[in-house]
Parts: sequence; structure tokens; C-alpha cells
Amino acid sequence: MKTSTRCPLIDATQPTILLAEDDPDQSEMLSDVLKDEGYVVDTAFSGDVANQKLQKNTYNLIVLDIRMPGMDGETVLKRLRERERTATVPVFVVSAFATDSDRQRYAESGATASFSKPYDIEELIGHIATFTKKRSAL
Amino acid sequence: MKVRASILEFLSALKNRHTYAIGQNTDAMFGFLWGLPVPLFALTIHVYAAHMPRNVASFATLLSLHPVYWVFLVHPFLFALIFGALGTMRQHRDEQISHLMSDVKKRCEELCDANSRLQETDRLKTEFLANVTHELKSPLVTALGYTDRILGRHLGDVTERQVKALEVGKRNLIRLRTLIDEILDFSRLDAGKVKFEMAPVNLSDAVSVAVENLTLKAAEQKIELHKSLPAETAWIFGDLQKLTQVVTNLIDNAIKFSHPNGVVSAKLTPGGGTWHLTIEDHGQGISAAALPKLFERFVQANGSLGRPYNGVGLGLVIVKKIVEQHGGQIWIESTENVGTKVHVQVPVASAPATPAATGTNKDERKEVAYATDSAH
Repeated sequence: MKTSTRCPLIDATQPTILLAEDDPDQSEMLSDVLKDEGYVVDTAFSGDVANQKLQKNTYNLIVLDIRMPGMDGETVLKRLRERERTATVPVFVVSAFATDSDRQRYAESGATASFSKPYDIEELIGHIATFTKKRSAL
Repeated sequence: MKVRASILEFLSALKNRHTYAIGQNTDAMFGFLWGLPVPLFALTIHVYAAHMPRNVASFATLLSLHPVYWVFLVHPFLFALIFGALGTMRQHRDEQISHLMSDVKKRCEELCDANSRLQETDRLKTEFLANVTHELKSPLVTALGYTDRILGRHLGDVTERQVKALEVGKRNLIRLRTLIDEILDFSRLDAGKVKFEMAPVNLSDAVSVAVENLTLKAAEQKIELHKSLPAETAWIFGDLQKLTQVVTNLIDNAIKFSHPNGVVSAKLTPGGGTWHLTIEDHGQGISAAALPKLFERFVQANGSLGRPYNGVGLGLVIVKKIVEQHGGQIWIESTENVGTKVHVQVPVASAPATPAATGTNKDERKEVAYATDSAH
């Protein structure tokens, strides 16, 4: 795993997750749950903040909402895929818009997986665990 | 033209020595008088010598017809009158044309306005749908998420009574989610926001997947689920996923309205250039009064029974819309307390030229898009 001395959040033993979600309740819930599950969680309440944080910090996985004020999730996703440091990081899109064509579009933009809101929290955590373990083992 | 004449003496023929001819002058047809053309005529007199008809002397003179002088005074007025009339007619025609042009332009503008208003309405509808989707689904995320975490004992111990209460809560949250999905599905279909990915597909696949999806549910309710598929491939031109949704919905309904230990069967047969799917149950059936209303929005046949089935009665409306999108039709036969048969007929399509076209090869699929899906 690539670590950075600039980033205080990175801990090789605890995978770090960036949670980009504008709804404070949803953000709080998911961040609580992820912390309970032993992850370090960094939150961004807008696409722009997420985009900035992604340029500075390194994360093991990103949970990305689509509809956010300012820069939307899809743009954040496209930008991060364009940058070398985040080109391969797993990105889970969580959105209320998850029709087949939406999901296909997210996949084309570079999403690793997409979850329809309201998602099954245990299922989401299960997938996050799979992907972060895979990454940690590298 | 030339007129030739002579005055004949019948009693003494030898006296007939003069002929007179009058005709248009061949050298100059018109002379000019005061700048205006005047026709010229030539008068020729032939005189024959007595007893020698071959000796002819002729005298010719030019005649001209002079109009009376006042004609020349009238001319300018006549010309003025004619040109004036022509001018007026032309002006009138120009006015008519410009009037028509401005009318056409006005109508075009009206059409443009109407078109942009429609586009705006369509955009607002899309936006509204997107907002509704977002706003209705978002609160469920935390409500369901926290409920699951508590039920999963992640937030500490929970008593049995608390578990029971939370489970009821969760069940109803899921019910709400189903309702929202159903309403949104319908709205998206109704607003033409659903993209149909049409390709040659095997209708048997839709039936198989639907049966597979519902086997567990049927077993839970002690209902036997049978399927009967044709030996050959049931080619139709359609969107496999939407067709699977149709079959799933219909079988799900059949299970829902069946009695325990009942049998639900799905049968696919060819006939008359169509594939005919019949889904039969032996459940409570539908009353004759309710039967014609089944495909209306928000109607549930058992509405009066007050039994809380999931859904707001949009399921069949959605199913019908999808079937019709495939050029097919759907109808229901039912007898109360005996059972229900749902029939779906979709036109047969010829097998694709290459097997690749049937798979998930997106490039070869023909997309029938009614409006681009821009809900995000």
C-alpha cells in the first residue's frame, strides 16, 4: 500500500475511506458504521471538497454520492480516474439514481460498483470489506 | 391576305378587262403616323388588253388606314388605365404575399414557442422526477440503515420486544421502498424516460429467470411453481430485462393471490406469429366487476378487502405499458374463487443472423430511446 507522510489519516493497519455525501444524516450514519467496523473515515460534504481531498490524500476506498451541491459525484469520479494516484482506487457509487442506464453510466465513468439508495447497509459493508482487504493485502 | 375582285359583264365577256386586288403591303406592312404604327395596304388594278388576255397592265397604289385623331388623345389614358390596373393588381398581390409571409412567420414563431415550452415542460418533468426520486429515497437510507445496525446488535444489546418493534418498523420501511419504486417506475415509463434496449432475445430466458427468482418465495408460501417452455428458442425483439420484470411481476401476483398448497404455472407456447405466455393460478380470482379496471392506475382488485398487499396497484399498469412497448398485448381471464389466467402475446421475431447479437453485446443492440435518461 502506498502511504504518504503528508496525510495524517493514513494508517497501514486501518484502511481509510473517503465518504463523499452531502446529506448530514446519511454521512453521519455511514461514517459511524464504518468507524465501528474499524475503518478510518474522512468525510466530504460536497463534490468540490471531495475533489480537493482526493488530490491531497490517499484513500483505500471511496464511497461517492452522485447528487451533491457544486461538483456532482460523476464529475468527481471522472476527475479522480484521470489522475494517476487515484486511477485504480475502488470507488463505490451510492445513489438514489440507480436505473440500469444510470449504473452503466457510472461504470463507464469508472465506478467499481454502484449501490441503489436505500442500500442494504450490511451488504455495502461486506463489499467494502472485500475491496479494502484486497487492497491491504497488496 | 389578299382580296381580289372584278366586276363581270356576262353579256359581253370581252368587256371584262379589270381586276382589283387589295392586300397587305408586302414591302412595308406598317407605316408610321405621329410615331404610331398604321397598317399599309396595297391596291392593285390589273387591266387586260381586249382580245389578248395575256397582255396585262397593272397599276398599284398604297393605301393606309388613318385612325381618327382623337384616338391618339385616348391612347395615353388607355395606357395609363391598363398600367395602373396592372400596377394595382401587382401591389395587391404583393400585399397578399407579404401578408401570407408574415402569417407564416407568426405561425412558425408560435410553433417554436410551443416547442420550447414543451421542451421546458419535459425538462421540468425530468427534473421533478429526479427530485422526487432523491427526496423520497434519501430518508429511507438512514432509517433502514440504523434499523439494520440495531437489529444486527452492532449498537448494543436489544431486547426481544425491541427487536419485534424494529422488525415491524423495518418491514414497513421496505414496504414504503417498494411503493416508491413502483411509483417512480411508473412515472418514468409514463414520462417516456425509460430506455428500451431492443434486441433479438429468447422469451424463455425471461420466464426461466423470473421462475428462478420466485422459487424461494413460492416455496415459503408452500406454492408449487411450474414452468413449461417450448423446445425451440422463443425469439422476440425486445428488452430482456424489462420482459423479465413483466414475467416476474405476473408470477409474483399469481403467488400473492394463490392459496397455500396451490399451483402457479407459467406456460410459453407459439401460435399465430406470436409467443403466447400464460400464467395461471388457482387462487381467489378476480370479480367480474373488477376485471375491466385492472389496467387502470392505482386500482387493486382486492381494494375492498383491505388486505395489505404490497403495491399501489401500478404493477399491472407498468406491465401493460412494457408489453405494449413490445408490440404485444395482455389480457386476463378470471373466475372468482377458481383462479386467474394472465395472457401475454408478443410478436415472433426471426432469429438473429449472428449469435453475438443476442448476448450482452451492447454495440449490436438497437437502442430505442424516447428521451435521454438524465435523472441525476
